[in-house]
Amino acid sequence: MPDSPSPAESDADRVRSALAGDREAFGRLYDRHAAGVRAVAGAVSKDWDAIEDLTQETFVRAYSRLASLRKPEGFGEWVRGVARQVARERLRALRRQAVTTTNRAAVEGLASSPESPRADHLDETKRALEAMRDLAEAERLAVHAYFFNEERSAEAARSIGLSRSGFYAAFNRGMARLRRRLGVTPDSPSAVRRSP
Amino acid sequence: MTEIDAQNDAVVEALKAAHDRVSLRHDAGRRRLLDGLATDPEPSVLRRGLLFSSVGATALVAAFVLLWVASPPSAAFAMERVADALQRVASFNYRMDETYASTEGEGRTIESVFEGRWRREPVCLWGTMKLWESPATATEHPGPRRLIVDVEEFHRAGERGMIIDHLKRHCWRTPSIGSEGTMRGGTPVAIISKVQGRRWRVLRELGKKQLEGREARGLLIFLDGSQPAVDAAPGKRDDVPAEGEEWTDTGDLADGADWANTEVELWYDPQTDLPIEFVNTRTGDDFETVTRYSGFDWNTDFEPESFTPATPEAYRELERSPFADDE
Repeated sequence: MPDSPSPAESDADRVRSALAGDREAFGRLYDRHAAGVRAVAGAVSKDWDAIEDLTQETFVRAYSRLASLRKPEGFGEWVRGVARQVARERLRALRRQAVTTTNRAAVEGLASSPESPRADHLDETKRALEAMRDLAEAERLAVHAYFFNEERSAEAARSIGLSRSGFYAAFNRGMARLRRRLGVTPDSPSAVRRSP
Repeated sequence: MTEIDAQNDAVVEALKAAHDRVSLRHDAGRRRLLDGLATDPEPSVLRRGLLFSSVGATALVAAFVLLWVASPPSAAFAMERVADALQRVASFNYRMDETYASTEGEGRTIESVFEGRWRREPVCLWGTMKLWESPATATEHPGPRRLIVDVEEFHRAGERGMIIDHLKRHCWRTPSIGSEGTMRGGTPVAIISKVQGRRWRVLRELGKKQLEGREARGLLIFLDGSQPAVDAAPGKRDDVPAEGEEWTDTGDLADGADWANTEVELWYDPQTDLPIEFVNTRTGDDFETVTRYSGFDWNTDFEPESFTPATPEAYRELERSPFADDE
């Protein structure tokens, strides 16, 4: 999992160090921004199975173009832009190939993986990921960001460059839509209200 | 401020499980990323380093430079650079050599040579195609090699193209090509387009060798690698006529396979990051087809007018293609 960055070290510092040849500094940029990049990759491509590859490709491309980054302090926004571009390229490729079934196969693959947890979770996971494809992109982005940031809402909002209120609105809309789609009622006995 | 809706229900549990599985691979992804970077310092990184070096460290810097020049870039970076370099290509000429060797029956070999040139704006393509057949190659007395196809093609966006059959000394017009994506068979356009669009993944590095008087570095890539492999490119030449039969398909350069889900050897020039060769091999129970694109001259200045066809003197212009009923 991501290391805790030094509080004194900014993204601009990390970019400058990376440009000076410090690969570990680029690793710390990865630690800080991978969750947001994963969220963008998943939200834009709608290809759950491709998120890790897209994240790798995004950071490889970002590294190769790091010298062109004019504002090192804006690395997060910039790398999410790269992720969006990479994901769109993938999306276009998938559209050309009409591989909607591949995504289903990916979910099937995830569900049948020996690493998968409880069997009763598998179907729910598959259904939830499929239902996410029908969300608006902003909602999908917020939901991915929340779960890729270990359900820390402030981190999630930061990781995709949204204000907290903007993030909450998109996330809540997305979750409400998912619950409706999956037939889970907010007042069901298992639902527990938690503080953010 | 609005509160976040964070009920701990089945939806949350399902999504948490899925996302946690990806997040758990963060460290592995980080290692993979940094390992890739480790073998490929970005040139600008090193150059910036050079700027900040003291004069006294010249020898050390020189050593770094030598190390950088001598170090092969990682596969991912190399492909990124090739894709970037191809993005800047506006025109090229090329040669395609294809050999189809069949062991079916008495065996036969079909050798194809395409030579052509391509321009991006306006989209233009000119090419020649010659096919030779060598029959009975699996016997003690192979038949003579004979030229069975000799055609020349002109295509230019917005205009009707032309195919000229130099064996029969006639020609006919073809529909206008629509976009670069429609020009596939016999040209490397589809492969180049996929590389430009980053629709590939690198399978492995192939090392280096001398090609066309330069050092070339090789990568085995898989184009559009998100579907199971299908018969994407023509492997078996059923379109080639048997001895004595007439050629029934010109193999129009503007038509053909799109090279999806195909392994391609890419040999590139590390000085320019531009391809020197693309090679694809397809095999079946009783045949092997090797296709090689080479002889590239990149960004050559072709006049668009040179792609506009004219009926050669003493050739007959047919009213329609002699092969296609629906043209």
